Amino acid sequence: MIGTLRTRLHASLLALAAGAGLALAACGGGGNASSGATVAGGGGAASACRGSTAGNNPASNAVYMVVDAACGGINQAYVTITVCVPATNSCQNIDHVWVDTGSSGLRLLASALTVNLPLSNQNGSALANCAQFVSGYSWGAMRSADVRISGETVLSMPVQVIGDAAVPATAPANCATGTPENTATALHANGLLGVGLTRQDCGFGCANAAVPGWYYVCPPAGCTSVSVLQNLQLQNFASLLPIDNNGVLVQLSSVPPSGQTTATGLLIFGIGTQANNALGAAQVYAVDTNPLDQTYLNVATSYGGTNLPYSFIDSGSNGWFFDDATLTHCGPAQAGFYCQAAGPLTATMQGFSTASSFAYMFSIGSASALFSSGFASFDNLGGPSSPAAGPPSGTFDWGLPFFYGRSVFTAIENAQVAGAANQPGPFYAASTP
Amino acid sequence: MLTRTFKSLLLAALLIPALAWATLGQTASSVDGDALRLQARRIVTTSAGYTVHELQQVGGTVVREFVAPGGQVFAITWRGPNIPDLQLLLGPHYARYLKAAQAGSPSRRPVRLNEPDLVIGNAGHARSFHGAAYLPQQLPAGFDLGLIR
Repeated sequence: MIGTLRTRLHASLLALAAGAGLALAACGGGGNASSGATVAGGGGAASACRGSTAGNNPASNAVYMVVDAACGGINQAYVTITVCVPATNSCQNIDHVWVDTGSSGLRLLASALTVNLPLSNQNGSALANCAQFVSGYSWGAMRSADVRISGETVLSMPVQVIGDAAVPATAPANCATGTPENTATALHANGLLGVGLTRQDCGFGCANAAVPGWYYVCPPAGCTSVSVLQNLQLQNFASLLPIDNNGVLVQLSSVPPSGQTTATGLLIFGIGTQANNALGAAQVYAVDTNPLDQTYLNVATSYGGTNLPYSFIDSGSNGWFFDDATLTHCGPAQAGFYCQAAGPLTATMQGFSTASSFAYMFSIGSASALFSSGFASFDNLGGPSSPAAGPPSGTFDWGLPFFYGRSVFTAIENAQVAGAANQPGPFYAASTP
Repeated sequence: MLTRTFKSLLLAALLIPALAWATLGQTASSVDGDALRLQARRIVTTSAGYTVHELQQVGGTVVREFVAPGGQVFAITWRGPNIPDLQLLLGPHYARYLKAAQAGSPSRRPVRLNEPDLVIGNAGHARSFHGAAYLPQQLPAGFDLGLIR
């Protein structure tokens, strides 16, 4: 049912790896792959972020990850990736690519690119893409790239280039909901690596109809929505790998209650495919797989005696977002967060229509105190999910704070996972406690 | 099987002509100019004191508009794989939604606006968004906020 986009690992792969100064280890093999990578243009000419996010990659399917303040963000986990003009040695490293398990597709800032990636055209004009996030959106052109992360490579992958001059600078109104995140300064990253539950950003719906809010063509008369074949849509990088293609594992170090300047960890491709990504004792949480359900792609969470059926794990959310009427909301300077220390609190994650559950303990710190530290990583940053006077959102958003000190798995839709008894993706799994 | 169901839904959406999308705070009948902007299948249910127009957009996003007996839209909810055109649905109130989304420290988080004359919330993640907006001062007498969903 899902359109396949099989990529060929041909001879140019080795050329690409050589051009990037990277050692390409066999799957599961070791090797400090990207340490000291020497590809030109790392970070791009106009990067809004300072410093490198490259580090020791302990295996070919694992890439060093860091949470830092170099792009002005908080609780954003980054990796360094390599992109090349397809089938050439014209490559560059891009640092501070934000790892997002809450979306699918690779998105790069035009300002971070120094290589000229070929445009994707449809109906004779440039194809454009819109990414809607909960509080903002990103808009840009579709291009294609050979993409390598540590020792994992996907050839000719569709990517979105945000802020691309090949399409009009202003997004269509039915795309533009909330904060424009069309610059590295606004996104607090040079790109976004969506390695979520789905294979494409939109999937079947956009292949069969021109759905507003996703894909557009932009002839001179203006942008209009178009349908796009599934294999031409943005793809989950992990889903296209030859072996480690059933999901990702994110591991981040623990941080103290007062926060920390940085935190480090690994993004590991595959689940149960190599020695470093076994599910082990992780608890598996099924998500709703029916796209017609209100609770599609969500788990449930019980907090304070309330069942929250629209809950999810998302490395791209900066905090724990849930409603607790006893917690004090911050003023305008830290709008959207709690400004009262509380805890330990307990939230119970529950798989969709399964008995699998676990009660996780966490704490909340005062955002005003946390932010004044200038640190980038906090395991106790949280905020409300609904307006106090509005209908409840029914959501518990297990954002990046949940990932500190844990192994968190995101399994891709319709993928088989060894060790998850009779449970194909999509699902989440997480270590306990 | 899912695929077949989805196709049926799309087919239904295509068979029914595009209908008006109302704007929060305006009358449901005053926005026919928006009719061609979005394709949607509409289901109307009438309850004591209000009417709900449920608009099922191609692609699966569902918008529900709550209309008072006088014809004014006093609440809107949305859910689905993408966020609907909030500039259209919120009309003049969209600027305040945008301000709320941009307020405070850099973050990706739910959007909340909680003021005496306007309440808006938006939560969720890619392929699964949920939101609501309403005008507290224009609710029908005795209206239960729990019905906005």
